[in-house]
Amino acid sequence: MTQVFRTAASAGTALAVVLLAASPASAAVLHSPQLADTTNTNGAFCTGLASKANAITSKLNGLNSKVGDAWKNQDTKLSSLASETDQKIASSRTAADTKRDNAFKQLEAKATTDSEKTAVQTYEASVNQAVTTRRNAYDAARSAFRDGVKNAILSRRSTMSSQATTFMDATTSAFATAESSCSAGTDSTTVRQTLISSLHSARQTFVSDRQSDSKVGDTVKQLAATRNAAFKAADQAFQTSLQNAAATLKAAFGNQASSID
Amino acid sequence: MQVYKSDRKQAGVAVFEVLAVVVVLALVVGAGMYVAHKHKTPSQAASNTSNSQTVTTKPGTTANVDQLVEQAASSEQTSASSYDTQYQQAATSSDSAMSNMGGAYNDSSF
Repeated sequence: MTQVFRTAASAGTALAVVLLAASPASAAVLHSPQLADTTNTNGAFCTGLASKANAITSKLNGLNSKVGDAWKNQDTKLSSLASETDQKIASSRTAADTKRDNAFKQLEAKATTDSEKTAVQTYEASVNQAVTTRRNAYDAARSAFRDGVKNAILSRRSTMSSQATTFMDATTSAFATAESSCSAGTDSTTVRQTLISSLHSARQTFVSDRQSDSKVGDTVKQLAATRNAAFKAADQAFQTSLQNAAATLKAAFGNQASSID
Repeated sequence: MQVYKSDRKQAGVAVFEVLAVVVVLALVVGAGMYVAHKHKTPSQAASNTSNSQTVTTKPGTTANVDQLVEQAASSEQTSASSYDTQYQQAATSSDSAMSNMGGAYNDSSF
């Protein structure tokens, strides 16, 4: 009988049929090798879990550390930009002061009477005051821009840091739960599925939260627009002051006003 | 004789390789110079703007003073705003590091 089966079909199939035909208990024997394999695989899963958890935790810590490094670089870059801007403007102001002083001297040369000389001095003082006021307004606008950028970045960092912590905690928790379930003898297939689901959820939450983060680039644009508007407002006040100073000077020069206009 | 022919052949190949490397290097340097020329730093750009300002008014007049102080104001504005793009880039520079955390693991690989 056995010989017939062996010639009619493959040896494995024949053996299975024979064993199944023999007794129900034999069926268990037939499936036992598969069960043993699954147990080994599941056992390996649970055994290697702690190692995987450590590897993931280590990787997350490393990536989190890189975020810290990126923030340090960001601070350095922002500081460098502020310093570069300040130096550029300081240099520009020094050059402007020299040019203005020269222009004043040329104007002084046209004043022939004492009243005209006094008027020129008054004019110079008014222009200098207007320049100082305008510069202070510019400085305040630039300072507000920088503070705004800094605050936007710090606020965003705080949000992102919280998101990262939540993500890392959820990951650690998922592995801890899986290890605990393995220790409790829970079927490792279930443990694995639960772990995958938890890790997936943790990652999805992180990615989703990140997408809703404030767009700091747009904030910087808005702050720049606000700063530029402050520049314009200061310019308007500056122009008015200049016009008033010029009008006063021309009035002092009387019919000689055309020489300084 | 065979060895001599082979040596000449190898020498020819070596010369060709050296020429190829020289051509590639020339292309890379040329491209680099072109890019550097196209992307001047903001400070250079601001400096150029400042230097390009010309005085068109008569010296010894209030118009001359007005023009000088207005040019100075404009120069300051240019200096301040010329870094805006860099500020935007710096503000988002840490984003990729944070996004990388999301790729710490592939959950389906477990």
